Formats: sequence, structure tokens, C-alpha cells
Amino acid sequence: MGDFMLELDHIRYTVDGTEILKGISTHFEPGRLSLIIGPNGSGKSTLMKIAGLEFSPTSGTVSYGGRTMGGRDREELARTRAALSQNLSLPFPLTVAEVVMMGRYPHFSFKPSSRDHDICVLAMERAGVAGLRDRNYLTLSGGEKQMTQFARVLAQIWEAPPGEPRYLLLDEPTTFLDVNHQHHLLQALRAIAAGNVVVAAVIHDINLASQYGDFIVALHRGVRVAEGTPDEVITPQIFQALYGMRGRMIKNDDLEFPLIVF
Amino acid sequence: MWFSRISFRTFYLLLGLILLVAIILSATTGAMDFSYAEIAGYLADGIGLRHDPGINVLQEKVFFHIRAPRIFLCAMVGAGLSVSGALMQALFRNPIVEPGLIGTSSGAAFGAALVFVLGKSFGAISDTLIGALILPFFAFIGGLIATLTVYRLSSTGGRVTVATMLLAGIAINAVAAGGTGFLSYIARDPQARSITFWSLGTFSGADWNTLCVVTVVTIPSVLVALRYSKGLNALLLGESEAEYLGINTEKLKTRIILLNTLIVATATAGVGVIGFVGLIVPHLLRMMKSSDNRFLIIGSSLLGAIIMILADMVTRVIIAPAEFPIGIVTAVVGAPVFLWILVRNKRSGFHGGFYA
Repeated sequence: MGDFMLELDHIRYTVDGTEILKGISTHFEPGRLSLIIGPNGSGKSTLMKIAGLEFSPTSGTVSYGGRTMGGRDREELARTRAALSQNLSLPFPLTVAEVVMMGRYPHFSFKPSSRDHDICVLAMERAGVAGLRDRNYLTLSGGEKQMTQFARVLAQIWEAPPGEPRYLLLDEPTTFLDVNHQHHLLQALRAIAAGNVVVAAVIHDINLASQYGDFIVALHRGVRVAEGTPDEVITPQIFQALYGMRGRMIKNDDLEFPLIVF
Repeated sequence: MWFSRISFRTFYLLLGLILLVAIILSATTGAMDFSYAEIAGYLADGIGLRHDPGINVLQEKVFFHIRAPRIFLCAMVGAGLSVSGALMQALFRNPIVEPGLIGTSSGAAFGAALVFVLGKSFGAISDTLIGALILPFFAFIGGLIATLTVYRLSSTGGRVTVATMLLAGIAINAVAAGGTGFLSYIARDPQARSITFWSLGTFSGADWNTLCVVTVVTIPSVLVALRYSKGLNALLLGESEAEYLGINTEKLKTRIILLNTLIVATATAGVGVIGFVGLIVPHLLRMMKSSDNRFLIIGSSLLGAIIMILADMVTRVIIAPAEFPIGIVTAVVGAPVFLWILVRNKRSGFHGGFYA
């Protein structure tokens, strides 16, 4: 399934003379959950925005399934690729159902079909916000807003024409979520990835990354420090390199993944 | 609220019925009162259904040449300004934007006054349909320059700073109003001489020519605007989210500004500057039912028409047989609503877009 890969090749990104990304190459494959970790200011969000074609890299290429894409392809991409950014705000009150329906916008021209409505309901159920459907988005808690936006991006790529790849990019989707919802979200992401979707997310919590990630990319000051499985990336050495803190590894037979405590 | 439980279609139907009632009420009242029977008689006569020899020809003329175009012009302008308010609020991601506030109306008024006053002295325009078209064209140019200036000044990276927007609006409005004031001062034509026409608007000059131009511009513009309602909704999430939803935001923004300026300029060229309608109508609709832009555009056309017809009725009734500029009514009702929205927004502390 390598043809569906989202590939970043030698990405450099400079803004106002500061080089934020220094030649990063990596690739996100369908079927596995790719998570990007790194300290504040390491360029995680920028890398995500470049992968989503929101920013164009100073040099390097982004390709979706082997095709180099640019801003012109956005309309076409919107049907198979969704992205969730940080800090979304709405100036006017909309209901949760109306926000989720926006995810279907690329799929209908004037009026949503009954299929679009069905998909919104399924996406809201998957994100656990079905009970909020008629609530005013502005009155929701931070976590409820986040899950509503998650339902929106789910609805956007709920199904693809047969043989078409799907992509889901998320920038710190676990912000504002309590522990229960963090796990719920990451489990949902794994399930989506398992449906042969490219899923890549920026995440701050190392242990969550370790528990749920199939493939982890560690960034530090715009450089890719490590990438691979949790066992390869979540090590005290890399942890020290990333955060400048000593961590202790916990690994025992009850755990299938490494944990770090500090 | 009760409205939130009825379907969109029922809601439109309800507004449509109220609009019909407003039209009939407005048709009967004014400097000359007509009874329902008289109106029915004129209509029957007008479409050649039944000729009643006892009909009052003068009154019939007043009805067809003054009253009827006036009411329909009210409906068109009310619809146009309200839709324009809804479009601008979506574009600026802000509930307190309206054409009068961001310079569109005053810029258009200046453009119209320029050609009205100077053009008349050169005899370039006349009371023909062509003359009726030159005016909106210059109004469009004036309105466009003003709107673009305010938008450029107040937005950085797609986010609009409210304070800058209001201040830029004040400055542009002052410049345009100064220019218009000067033109009306040097004008010889009695209508152009009346500064109140340009600052407070009036439907007293309504005729079929103006109605024609305004209708031909407003109805297609509103229909086109409906096509962009999805994009405008997506834009509420922010520009990058809209792009991820496949919307070309640059194209969308340019088209909305052009469309909006076209509507406002044509209306302003016909009836002068009428403030606050574009602010209140979308806001009422949001409170009653929904912030979905498709609903706001359809609803604003209907509710805007209703409110403008009623406001115009007020100007004709209060000091009948004389009348006063309609901008007084819309300002007296609209300005307090505007303040109320401001205070309410401040208190509830809408996060994000509003005070960004």
C-alpha cells in the first residue's frame, strides 16, 4: 500500500530568517498511526501544516500517493483528506450538528444528501458527541469542542471511492481532553488507521504516543532526531535529547509498550 | 426559542406571509390613503381585467407611479442591504459589521453624488434608463474603494481586528461624507442639494426606472450569494480550515466583496445611505433560529424587505402628509440594538473571532 503514502522529502522551512525545519524527510503510511513528538518549538505544528499544504516549504516536496501536490489541488484533496488544527474558534453560534456537517461540504454542492446526514450521525457517535447535536457550539467545554471538531474531520473522510486513499492530519488533538477522552480519541485514531487510512498526529504526551503509536517521529529544533516504532524511539537517551530531562524507563511483562517516568 | 423548533421552510413561509401583509398595509397608507377595494380596482384596471369607469384616474396614477414602485423598491433595498450585512458579517467573522459601518454605503454615496452633481452640470446624465445605470456604476466604484480600504487596513493574515476596522470605518466614512457634503453644497439640482438624501436616505424619489435597476442587480446577486453560503460557513472556522474543506478562500473573499459592493452601491445610488438595517436583520435571524449562512441569506432577503417596508411606512405616517428620511427610523431603532449587541458580546466574552 506504499502508493498511498504521504511523503515529506527534505523539507526546509524558513520564516523571517529563522530556519524552523532543517531538511526533514519522513513518510506516513496507511494502516498505521503515525505520531509526531517533540518539545515546544521543535517544529511539529509547522511540519503538520506543511504536510497539509497549508504552508509551502521553502524547499523540499510533499507528495500524496506519489503525486506532488500544491495549493491548486485543495478542492480535490478535500474529499479524501481532512485536517484538524489547534485553536479553532467560531464567531457565531452554530449547533454541533451544523459544525459536523461542514465536514461534508466537499461532497455536496448545494444541499446535503441523506447519506451526508447519515455520515454526520455516525461520525458524531464515533466521537461521542451524538448527545450534543443540537447544542450551541459556543457553550461547549473545551473538550466537547475538540471532540465536535474531531467528528467534523471524521465526517469529511468517512468514506472514499473504492481504491482511493484517505488522509487524516491532526495537530495536538488531545489538547483540552481529559484522560478518558484522550484514550478514546487515540483508540478511534488507531481504528481509523486500521481502515487503510494515513493518520498522522502531533502529540505532547510521550506515554500516550508510546501506547498508541505504530510509528513515531521525534523532532528537535527542526531536525528529525529519531523515527520508528515506540520501542525504537521512546528511550531514555532520546528522551534526554528531546527534553533535556532524565527519564526512567519502565518496561515489564504487563506492558506491551515502554513508559517513561520523570 | 419557539422559532428554533419549526422547519426552515415553515419559517420562510411565515416571513413570506408577513411580507405580503406588510406590502398590503403599506400600499394603503401614506399621504394619500387607499382602501383595499380601491387598490383592487386599480390592479384590476391596470392589468386590463376589468375597467371601472368610475375610477379616480389621479389616484390611480399616484398608486401606480408613486406608491407601488416605492413599496417594491423598499422591499428590494431592504433585502439587498440585509443580505449584504449577512455577507459582510461572515466575511469579517464579526457580528457588528454592516455596509454603513465599513464605508461601503458612504463610499457609494460619494461616487453617486460625484456623477450626480458634476455629471448633471455637464448634462451627461438624464432621467433615462442609461442615466439610471451610470449612477450605480460610479456608486459601485466608490463603494468598492471604501470597502477594500477598510478591509485591507483592518485585516492581518485573514484575521480582522475589530478596533482597527471600526476606526478605519470612521475615517473612511468621514472622508466620504465630507466629499459628499461638499458636492451637495455646490450642487444646483434640488435632490442632490439635499444632504439628508445622502446621509439619511429616502424612498420619496422612487420610480420604476430605479426599481428596475435595483431589482435587476439585487435578485441575481442574492441568488449568486446563496451559492457561496457553504464557503461562508466554512470560513467561520477560519481561513485555513476553510481551505482544508476545499474552499478557495481568496477567490471567495474577492467575490463576496464585489457582490456586496454591487448590491449596496445600487441601493445607495437609488435611495441614499440607509444605516443599521444590514446590522439588525441578520442578527435577529441568528437569535431567532440559526447562524447558517444559507438561512441568513434567504431569511435576510425576506425579513429585510419586511423591516424596510414597515420603516418606510412609519416615515409616511408620523407627520403625514409630509414625510421624513427613513435613515432616522433605522438609526433610532438600529443604534440601540447595535449597542446592545456590543455589550452582550462583551459580557458573554465570545472567545476567538470577535475580539481577535
